[in-house]
Amino acid sequence: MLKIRNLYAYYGSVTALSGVTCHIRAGEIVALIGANGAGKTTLLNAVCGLVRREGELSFQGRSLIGVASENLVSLGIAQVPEGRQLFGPMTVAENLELGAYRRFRRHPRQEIMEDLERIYLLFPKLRERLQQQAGTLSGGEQQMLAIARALMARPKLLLLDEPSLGLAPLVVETILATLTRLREEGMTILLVEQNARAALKIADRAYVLETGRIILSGSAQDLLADRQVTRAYLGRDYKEFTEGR
Amino acid sequence: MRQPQFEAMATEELELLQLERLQSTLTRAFRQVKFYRRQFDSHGLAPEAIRDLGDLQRLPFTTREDLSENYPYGLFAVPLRDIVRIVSSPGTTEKPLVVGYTSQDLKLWQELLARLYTAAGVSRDDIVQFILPPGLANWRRDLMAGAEYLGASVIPAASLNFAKELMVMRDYKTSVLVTTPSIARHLLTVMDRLNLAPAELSLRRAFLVAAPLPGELRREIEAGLHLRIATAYGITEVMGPGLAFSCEANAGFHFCADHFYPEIIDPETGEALPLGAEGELVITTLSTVAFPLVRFRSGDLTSLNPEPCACGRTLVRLGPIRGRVDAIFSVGGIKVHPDQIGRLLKDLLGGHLPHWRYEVQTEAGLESLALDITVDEALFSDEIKALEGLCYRVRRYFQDHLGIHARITLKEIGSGQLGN
Repeated sequence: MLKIRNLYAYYGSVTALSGVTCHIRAGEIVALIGANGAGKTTLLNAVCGLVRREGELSFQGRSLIGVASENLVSLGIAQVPEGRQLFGPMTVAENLELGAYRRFRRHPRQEIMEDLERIYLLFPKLRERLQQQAGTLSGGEQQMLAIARALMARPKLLLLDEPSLGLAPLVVETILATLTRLREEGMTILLVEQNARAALKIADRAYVLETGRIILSGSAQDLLADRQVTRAYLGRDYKEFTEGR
Repeated sequence: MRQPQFEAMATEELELLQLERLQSTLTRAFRQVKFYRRQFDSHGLAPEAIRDLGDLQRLPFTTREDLSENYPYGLFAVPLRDIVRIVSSPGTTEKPLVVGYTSQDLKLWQELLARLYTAAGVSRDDIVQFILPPGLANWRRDLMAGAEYLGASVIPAASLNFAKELMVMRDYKTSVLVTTPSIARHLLTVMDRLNLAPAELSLRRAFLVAAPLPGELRREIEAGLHLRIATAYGITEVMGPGLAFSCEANAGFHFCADHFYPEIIDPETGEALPLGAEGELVITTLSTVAFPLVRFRSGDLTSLNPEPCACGRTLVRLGPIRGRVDAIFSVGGIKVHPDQIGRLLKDLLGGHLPHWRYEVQTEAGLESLALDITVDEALFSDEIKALEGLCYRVRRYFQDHLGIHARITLKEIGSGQLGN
């Protein structure tokens, strides 16, 4: 579905990605793991055209080079950015409607209402908070809203940046369980996570990034068992995870 | 097909998979193995320079001599504590060959073996009997573990004599025999002697490994044992037998190109040759973690056939192995370099190296090393017993060090045109 070949990304004169090649098949959850500064978020941003990039990048056979980031949604790519970036003073309902802004004109209101119903099934908490300001939600609820808002665009590929950041372990579990459900419904997900263990638990495959290059790839199960990965990326997370209980 | 998603992958998809795995292998090799970093540096290259599969040609080769110079752990790309298996074999150079595996590598390797058995028509319902000589201990262990992983019932090699092996085969209703071509051929002779008809056996398949199988020999064994033969190609340096395998269409060896990248080169110039041309097989690992190999020269002469196969697999096919680019030869499936013979003799005889000459002999299918040694002054004795002792010691020494059977003939000085 998404094919990336020799992708370079730059922040000014700094090369953040130096020749990344990877792919995502339809219906997969693929995780990008790696240390801080390895280039995980940069890779998402490069896919979305938010940083200067070079290389080959195609989505469902169509090149993304030259496609402006605001047009990605209509191709079927939605990003859930790190830090959620909700519209704090607006209500939950308004945030969700904004997620569907591309579709208001062309699609019957009925269809959007159905999507909202689906989302309330996925995140029952949001229905309870419909009229509440997004900024007053808890961290976990904000993350749910951010995902829900992205889903309102009916994407085929969902890009998620650190959905577990700053959330309590139980909340992380809820969010990840939701992603698994989305995959079962046919969604394709590219997941960037600092919390590698949690990401590998739900992913099908993963790539390990180290200073701008992919150094290891494989099934998530294999990487969970890989001793180098365990040492480099799972040690601390695991402790945090178990001590938090 | 065990893994149709890979074995019958569309070419374009496979190439992207190969490229991403190649790039990550090269990055790991460059960052974690001094030898590869030097190799890259000496050509003024960084892993980033390899932007497509064809760029691989810009990198230098890795040879058996490189492996020997980096003995034992110099080419390992992970710390020893991540290695769960260290496989050592005599190799063909001065130093033994050492290959390390992480637990991930072992898993991959089991999966590849299961792939090969499945293509050979072997399933968990089979009873698989192994007759492989001690010199092929690594292959024996690999193939047995693979059959067990598949879930078949395994009868390990018992080093019984061949008559006993045949009795086991008949009584235990063995359905698959795993052995070398020469032993399979020898079993026909033994069956003849025992008056054992193939109909008394339950064999359906033979899986013949470690040596090439000429067409005539294949037909003789298939007819004599009433079964179909499957074969495989592999080298100890790269995961042993799991590298390439024959399929039901029996039209070459499907190369596991999702995990290993094959090239064919001109052995003289090192230039890459187009698909279909015959040359030396060069292998780059794409998935192995502990022991990555970049452009390893196998020494085997063969060709690559990218045409689609009747079996439905898209994995490129290796043609028959036509020979070697070097002097390495095989005795019953065990690879030997002539220099090793000289080295072993010199070791055994306290630094003295007499004239010697060798030949691989076949008797009723079984191969042995016929070694003529010239008895010079340093070796001479007027006691028959001492000379017999010499023969015995040489025989034992070759058995112990290479796992091959040697027949020793002592020659007088001037009795023949002995060279060396």
